[in-house]
Amino acid sequence: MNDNSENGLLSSLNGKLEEEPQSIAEAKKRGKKVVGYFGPYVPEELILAADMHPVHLAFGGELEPALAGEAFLKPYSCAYARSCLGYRTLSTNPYYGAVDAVCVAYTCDSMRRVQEYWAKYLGVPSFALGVPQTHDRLRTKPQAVEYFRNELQLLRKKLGEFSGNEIRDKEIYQAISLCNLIREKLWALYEYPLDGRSPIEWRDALKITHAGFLMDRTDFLRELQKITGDLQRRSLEDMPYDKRARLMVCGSIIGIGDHKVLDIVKQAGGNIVADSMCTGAMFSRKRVKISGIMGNPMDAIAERYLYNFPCPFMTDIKMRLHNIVKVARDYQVHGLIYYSLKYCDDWRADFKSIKDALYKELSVPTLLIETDYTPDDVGTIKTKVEAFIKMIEGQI
Amino acid sequence: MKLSEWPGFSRLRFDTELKAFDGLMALFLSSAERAKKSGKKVVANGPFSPVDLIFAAGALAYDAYTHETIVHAVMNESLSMTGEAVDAGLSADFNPWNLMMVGAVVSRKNDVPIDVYSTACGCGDDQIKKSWQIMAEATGAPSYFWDIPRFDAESEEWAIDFLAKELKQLFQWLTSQTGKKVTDETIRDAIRQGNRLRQDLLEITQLLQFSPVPISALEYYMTQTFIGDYAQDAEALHQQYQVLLGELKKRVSQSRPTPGLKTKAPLRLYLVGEETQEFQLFNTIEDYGGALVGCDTRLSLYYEPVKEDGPVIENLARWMWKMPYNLPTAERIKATLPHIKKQQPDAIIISSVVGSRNLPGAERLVRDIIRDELSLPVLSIETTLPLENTEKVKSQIKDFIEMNTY
Repeated sequence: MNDNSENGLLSSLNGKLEEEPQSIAEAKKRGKKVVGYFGPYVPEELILAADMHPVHLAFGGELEPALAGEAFLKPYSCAYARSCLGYRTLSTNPYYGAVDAVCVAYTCDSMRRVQEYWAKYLGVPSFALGVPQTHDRLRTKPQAVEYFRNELQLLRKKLGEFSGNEIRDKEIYQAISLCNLIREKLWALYEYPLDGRSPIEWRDALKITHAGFLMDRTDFLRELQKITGDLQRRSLEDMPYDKRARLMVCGSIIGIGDHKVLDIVKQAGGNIVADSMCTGAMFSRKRVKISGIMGNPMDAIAERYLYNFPCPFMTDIKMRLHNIVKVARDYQVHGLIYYSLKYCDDWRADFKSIKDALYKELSVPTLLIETDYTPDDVGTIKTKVEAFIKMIEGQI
Repeated sequence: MKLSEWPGFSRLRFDTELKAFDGLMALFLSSAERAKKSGKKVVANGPFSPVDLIFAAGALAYDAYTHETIVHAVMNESLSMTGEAVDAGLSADFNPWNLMMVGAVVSRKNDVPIDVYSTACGCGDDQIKKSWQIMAEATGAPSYFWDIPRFDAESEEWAIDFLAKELKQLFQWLTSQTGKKVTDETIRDAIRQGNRLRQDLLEITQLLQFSPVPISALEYYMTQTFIGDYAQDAEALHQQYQVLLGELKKRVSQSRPTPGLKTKAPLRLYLVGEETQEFQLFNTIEDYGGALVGCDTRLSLYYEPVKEDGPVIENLARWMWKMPYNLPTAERIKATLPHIKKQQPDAIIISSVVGSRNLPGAERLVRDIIRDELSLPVLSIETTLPLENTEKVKSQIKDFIEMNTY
């Protein structure tokens, strides 16, 4: 078991992250604009290419912002979507307060509303991005990628106008290169737990990923390089095999700071080794590949973002099942923790299919955790998780 | 069977003098029998997906969302079916229309037999898409999803192109299911039939501009609801609408109010938003001195006719892309405001269904825009399964009408 969060491995990153709000404030004074975005379909390459600072607004887990969001969305909307609005109105989170504009991918119903409310009530420009829902892995709908590429071109134009910098291909190439390097390093972190002896836990890889949502991307890459260098120097030979139950987590967004379920799993003796979440490993899963020297960067971005991993608002459930089963198989997981935020319809409705597929293909059991950001259900979840892990331990 | 013999309907007050409504109900209740006799494939179609496409392919469109719920929840009060939907994979937090429909289908108690599932995605309502996915999986029936891209004036060129290609692929799939080729002519015929029904409904609605209103709230709401799938027979539905129009026009010419009205100068109410299963609401409006003068739970799909000349698929694509349901909330409300104004309402009721993330998510926007643009009092109500919050809604409506009646 490697707890790197408090020791040297993450200390430099943590220090930088603490200073980040101040750095952003100073950069804003120098005229740099900050653009927030919601969801995994907004390419931060375009924001970087416009010489703006991208912030992936993915905080969650706190009750107050979710409650504040009820000024806009009904209490029977998911707590994450409500928080996307509540954080800005509460003014307690420096990142939400710093953004000069936001980009919102049209994914689920609630995120569409988030875009509309930011535009009308929160006083910042809000750019919508259309994302096709019915394309499939076999590319039988070439119109989907064509449509998405055009939507990205429109976003590029709007971001360019907003920044005052025309976004040229040259800057997009540079941004792609930077983001690909980040993805490569992040992905390597998630690959460590493939082995029973890992110098880094999945949870730390998640923390690092989340830091990368906020920090200046060049600084972040530098920190990542330090971390990966440090990890490479560690010898696996001296490390004992981790005998805890190997778990995978998938489901609704686990936002930055949403520790409740992860802490419970850890306290119950579970070892999360893999995930299938847009704020986890899936964020760095696939590079943007430009084909040949004549390749168009916008084509490459459209291809990468549309076909990375089908979120459940997309209809390609076969691909989703295939990917989840593959991760579970590759990481030899013993159980799946299915994190379902209350009122997250898309993930909740896929639960049964995913549970059945995992059991049928790999005999891997699934535990459904339906929760939100209140602390009220900690005891119940703890009991369920403990029983689940005990059951798994009896089988391995 | 008389309407009052259905357990849920026995609590409701119908306008027994309105003969045409019996014909409409008979059409609604004979769906299953007619579908079986027709030998045509029945395509369960989501409530936001225009049905003209399915009729163009020689199949019968079926609005399972509305039909199954009215039959099982409203008429029979078999509310326990929602449990079957939860067992099949829906969350109990889904909106009750989906829960009832999926419950009926997965327990094989659906009123109308369904051969295949198809619905549009993209124009909002994730729950519809997921319900269709689960029903198809549970019954082993083929399914097909197609996309309506978001509305944004700056996206028009590629959005229409995308949607037209989606429609072409949908028609290919429908052909593979029905064995019937979709041609420009079959599409044009379906559009003509759809336009005629949209025109019927507009004319019926125009009659609610008169005072006294000639049709009761409940009958008007149900009349509008039947257009969801053209009752599987566009010609028969048109005939029934014509009979109804004749009766209503006669009442208007005689200044005869619908019998439901309790006062000579009722508060004129317009209902915006989602369909409700709480049918008593419509009686309640009249019981406390109101009159329903319009309702856009379905009508907003049908405000504009589809162009019949020129390239049919592109015409359909343009019409769908600009359907009020596909517009961002602010534009959607602004597009419907002229229609609301024509009905000369005194006040607005916004209807949300608990568990829906579609309109309820935008309710504040809708309320604020209506207040700003129309300067009318607005009441927001929330309903769920029938009878679950009848008393609360009754008292909200009573107070609202009292407060705004001078």
